Amino acid sequence: MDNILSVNNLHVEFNAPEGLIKAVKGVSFKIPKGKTVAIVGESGSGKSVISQSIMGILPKTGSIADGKIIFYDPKHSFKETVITSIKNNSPEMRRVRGSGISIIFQEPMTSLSPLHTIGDQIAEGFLLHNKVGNKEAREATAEILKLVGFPKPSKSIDIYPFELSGGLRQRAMIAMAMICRPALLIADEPTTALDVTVQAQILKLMKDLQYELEMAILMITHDLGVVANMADEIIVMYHGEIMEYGSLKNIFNDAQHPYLKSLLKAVPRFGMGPNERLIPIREINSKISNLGSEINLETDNKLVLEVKNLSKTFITRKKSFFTDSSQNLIKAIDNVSFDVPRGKCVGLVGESGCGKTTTSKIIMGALKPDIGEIIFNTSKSKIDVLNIKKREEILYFRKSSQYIFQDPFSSLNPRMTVFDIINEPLIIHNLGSEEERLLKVKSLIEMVGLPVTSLRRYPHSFSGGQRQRIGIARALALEPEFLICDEPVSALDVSIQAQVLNLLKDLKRDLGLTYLFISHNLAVIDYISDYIIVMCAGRIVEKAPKDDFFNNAQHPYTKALLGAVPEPNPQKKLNFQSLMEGKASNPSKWPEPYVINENFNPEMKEVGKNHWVLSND
Amino acid sequence: MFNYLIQRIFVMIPTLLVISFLIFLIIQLPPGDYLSNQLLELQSQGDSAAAERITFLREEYGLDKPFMQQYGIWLGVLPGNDGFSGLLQGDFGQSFEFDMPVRDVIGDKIWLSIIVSFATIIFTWVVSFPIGVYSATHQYSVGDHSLTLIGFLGLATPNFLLALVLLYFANVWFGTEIGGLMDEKYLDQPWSFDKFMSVLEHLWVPVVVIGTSGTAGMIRRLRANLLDELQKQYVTTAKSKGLHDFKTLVKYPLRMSLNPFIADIGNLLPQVVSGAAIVSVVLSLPTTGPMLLQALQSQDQYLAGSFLMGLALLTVVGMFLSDLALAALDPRIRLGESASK
Repeated sequence: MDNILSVNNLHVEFNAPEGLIKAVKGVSFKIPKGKTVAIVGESGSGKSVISQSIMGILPKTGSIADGKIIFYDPKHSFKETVITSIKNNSPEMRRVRGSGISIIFQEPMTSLSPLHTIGDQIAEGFLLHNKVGNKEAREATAEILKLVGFPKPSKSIDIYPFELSGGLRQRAMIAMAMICRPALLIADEPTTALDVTVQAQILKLMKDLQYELEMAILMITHDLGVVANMADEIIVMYHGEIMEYGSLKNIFNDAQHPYLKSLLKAVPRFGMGPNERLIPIREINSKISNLGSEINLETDNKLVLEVKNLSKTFITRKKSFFTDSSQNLIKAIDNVSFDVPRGKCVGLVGESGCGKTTTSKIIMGALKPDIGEIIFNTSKSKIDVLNIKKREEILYFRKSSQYIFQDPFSSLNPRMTVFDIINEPLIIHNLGSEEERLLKVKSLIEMVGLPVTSLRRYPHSFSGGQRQRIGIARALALEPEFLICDEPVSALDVSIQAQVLNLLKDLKRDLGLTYLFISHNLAVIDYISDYIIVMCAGRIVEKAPKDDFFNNAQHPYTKALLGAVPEPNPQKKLNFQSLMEGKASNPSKWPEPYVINENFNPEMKEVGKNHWVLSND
Repeated sequence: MFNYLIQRIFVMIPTLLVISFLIFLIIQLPPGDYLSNQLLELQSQGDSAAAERITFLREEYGLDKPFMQQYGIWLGVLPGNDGFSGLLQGDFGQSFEFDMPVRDVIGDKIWLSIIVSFATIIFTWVVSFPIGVYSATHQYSVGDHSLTLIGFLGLATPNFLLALVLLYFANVWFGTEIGGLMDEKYLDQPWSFDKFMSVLEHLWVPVVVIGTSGTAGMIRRLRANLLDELQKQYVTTAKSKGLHDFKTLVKYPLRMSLNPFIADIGNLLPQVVSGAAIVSVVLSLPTTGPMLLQALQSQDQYLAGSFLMGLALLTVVGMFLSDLALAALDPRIRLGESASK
């Protein structure tokens, strides 16, 4: 078979302030024409460095120490270009870039210049590599925009990236990479920043284009689900070295290397047994002890939180000096009601912008809803959260409900030591003497599996997963009964994700905690939740107990969501035909009896035990 | 966008009104006025008829009227001795010190001011741009470090000191008498080619003196902005299309890093007129800067007030223009209204 690219014994080094870092150590592989090769690994495994070496866009501190990268251009009867031996800014290298090999990046917003129209940026490569005028370039741009599925290709040329949604931006990025019909497309985490349904569309688009243009793809990702759906061959990397290299079937059915085996065990997937645990690559030892207070482990099905008919409207004003300001009402959440029973975990799923974070902010009192009621019901008292009058009540509510944030980097103050961070809530609520606090902070840090010595250090010296555990320790300091976890693992690597999820599960079991767990990742929700709520466009469209949810989903949006999750199993590939072409999250395009428009305003109907669906029936 | 422009223009009116009131108030704050200062001086010289003359003048100029009325007359909303004649009618009042209409006092000098300042701005931009870009693209190289050192020296040297040093060396090396903006023989001559050449010959010293610190500051800012932008992903995207490094630089990060400079135009405009008063005094440049200083010292209230008002107008208009330029250059500002995501 003809190869497009061969990498032989590649070594890449970085000249960092702390010394020489060997990011890639002796990597060799080949990419055959028209096939997809996937490089899988955690962050820091060197997978992106390989793509940068191939494109000749390594950062200034990086250099190729040894090895060869050879590109065989099929447009010129497989003429050899040795990428490693030509200069990055030389005409030969620039001819390869964009025309022979092109690349798409993870973050579609920052990868496009905000000051130039997408047409300008897409046509740029075409003008560089072809001797054509502006008119032809414009036609070619319109054509490629049509190919990547832009709704109005010839009009879209003149709009700016910030006017587009994330999915369309990534399509524009793909169009930019494709316009010269490259022989090899490098996709560096192309769908990581996107919602699942959009991810599925983008993956489908890449497959279609690959088929049409006979292009090879080098896919770089940490998502084994995406790999199982896209790849023909797989390279598993760890610490700059290849751990395993083989065809899709061999890798998934007969993983040899212990690293890959453990990686597969660390990923949450659908249909795990009720007592099946994820096995993180590095297990953490947490010492969970009750913090001196009594713990009520009975699950008496009392409701900790009752949310009733919550609605919140945001107003975006179009300002004008003369005319009356025309108001644009955006219903962030619309008639949202749900209950959280004691000792359970309720999962809240939805795409970005569906209103899940607004809901959590209202529960925490950071936003006021237009109407609605929230009852917080603990073992000691019952609080009407939206009408708290007394100071003791607000202190009690703050103490017994806590928040775990998404971003472990910005949610810890970099100027405070870990001890100060965990101690702060205790000081605010004036709990215990100084010695008692010290003891408590120590037991908290052990509870999340970090050594007591870490208390004196600052957050920057910890990894993302460790920081998230510090955040959990802080949230637990006040012995809350209820925790809101807002995407607590979405910024973490799979193996770390398993650690944190297991920790949260154990804490819930041993301390009798109650969670409202917000995530866009259905597999994570499946692993940790007992009851699942799906939100779309500000409304709850379906809520059901976990088993019912996965076996008997009713609502078209829920089905689309479930169908769009790529599973790390080559036998269960995504059914691209069933994707609703981006209509899944548009309530006015839902089929009867679920459609929402001027004429139909569906309500929640109970279809099974505790299983509700938004429907017109 | 059109609405936005109209709105901006309307907001300028109350802003200028408030400024005019504050200016007038502050000028009047010190005890006495120009005439009472004058009176003291004349009396100390033993002029016995001084008091009567000053009283006559005070009535003539309307200085005996209450503060608000004086303000109204100056603004042109209340009738003075000559009917409605104030800023709104385009009459800037009378300068006591020069005994001439303010318009004529300023008129002569303002052109020289503008020449000096524009030359300075152009000097600043022409010098700082290539250096800033070089420093950013060759971060931590020998060139970057030495240019940075020179830049800091430029920032730290007081302008008037540099002026004196340059005065001396220009005389020793080129034999130019640098005082003033042109050779003395052209002082009251109409403009001619020789006069123009003489101005050019003298111009470079004040331009270098006034421009150094600005240039140094601009280099630092451009370097910092550009370094930020060079890290961005879209730069890599452009390179991976096969675009030449230099073309990439000019098309993407350089353009992005221009925004702060355009936002600065608003501050530049008033400086064009009033800038560098101290240096002008040292170099005895016949520009408006020293004149403003003198008018404020002697409480020549109409001259100072009208002058400051002119500066305020330039600031407000300058801000408006820089906003327009920003909107033209940055689609996020231009279209942000409709795409507020």
